[in-house]
Amino acid sequence: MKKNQNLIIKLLALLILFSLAIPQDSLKEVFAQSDIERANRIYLDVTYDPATKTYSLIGLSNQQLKALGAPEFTAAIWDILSRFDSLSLVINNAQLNLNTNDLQLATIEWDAESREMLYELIGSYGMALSDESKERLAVWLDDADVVLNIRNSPSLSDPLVLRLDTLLMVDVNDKGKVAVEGFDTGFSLQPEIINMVEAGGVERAALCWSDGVVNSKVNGNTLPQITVHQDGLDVVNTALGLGLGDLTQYFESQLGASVSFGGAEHDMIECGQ
Amino acid sequence: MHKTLKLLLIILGVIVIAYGVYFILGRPAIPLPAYHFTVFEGNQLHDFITSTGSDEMTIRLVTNGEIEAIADETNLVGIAYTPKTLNNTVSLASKFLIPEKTQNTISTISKWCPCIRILPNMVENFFYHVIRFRLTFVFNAQ
Repeated sequence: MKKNQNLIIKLLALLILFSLAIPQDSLKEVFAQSDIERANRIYLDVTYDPATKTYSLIGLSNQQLKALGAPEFTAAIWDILSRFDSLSLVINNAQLNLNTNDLQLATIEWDAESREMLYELIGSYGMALSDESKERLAVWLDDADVVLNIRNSPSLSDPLVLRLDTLLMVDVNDKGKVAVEGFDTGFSLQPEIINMVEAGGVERAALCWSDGVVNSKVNGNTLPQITVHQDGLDVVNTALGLGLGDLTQYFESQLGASVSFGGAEHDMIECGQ
Repeated sequence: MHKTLKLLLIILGVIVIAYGVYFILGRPAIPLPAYHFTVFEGNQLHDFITSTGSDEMTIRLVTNGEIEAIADETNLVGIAYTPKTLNNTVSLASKFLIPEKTQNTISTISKWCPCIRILPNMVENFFYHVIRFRLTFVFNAQ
């Protein structure tokens, strides 16, 4: 009898241990994401109509752009644009191509010499690049897949394609001045926001939007993942009249930033699910 | 065997078997009755609810880490959390919402009595990993 009791107790103990041995991480977290080729893909399409002096950008009509505060083109710009049927700038990790009216105009190979020339050109316009900025520019160029397409057409432009695998490095100094990738934006945070950041002890933050999924981190601590559903945003966009245009482009885009306050180290974050 | 011990073992056995069945079924969320709230005009939430084209918005919380906002049978937003990310959010929010003096007091108390931190974590993990519930909050705009 005693033997049976002991056996029952041991079996029960095992059952309890088994039922409580629940894995802390889901399979999604245990298995790392597969190696996906990194690229910073930007496809920006602009259409313009010299006859009506209107233009369209990222699928938004001239009226929608005006409502958002987009500027008008000057007569000089329209004069230049009317001389072209199309203009495209293609930048990838190997070269820069400039085409006009479907004819190749210029090609620059992205070797160390040509990049240094580009940095000097930027520097001559008063924007001297630090070694850190050059390093960051190299990171962006190494993974670049950028197409800027400007077309003489009365139709709406194509939606924006924006998939950036590289996080934008944003630095905010003690006075609230914002610099992106080492370049001073001329923009400063309001004092109330700076006070709020200081009160919360926030030194660094990282945020990524990928196909409607928002991942974020503050001071190295991961926050819950937020998923914004396109159908839901459609309802809110229509009901509140936000004028966001074609929402599909937002749900097929990826953009992330790592923000550092007061010189703190930048945080990294994984984008997507 | 002592009668009480026998009874305890039987009860424990029943609980373990019941939980075993619950575990095999995939630990489904046990739905609790929905809580209804009325939101009156003038409230910011009222404008948001009515702007969705419906007079009702539902927030559904499943303790295995899912929160969903639904209006007009459309999912608006979903939040996925783990105990760790939830704690991170609570820590961050407390820095903004709780005065520094109170935060220091809580910190001092938790040094003397760690149960203040441990107990909520245990409860949170219990409902996250062991037994899951589904709470539904329905907001009606009037």
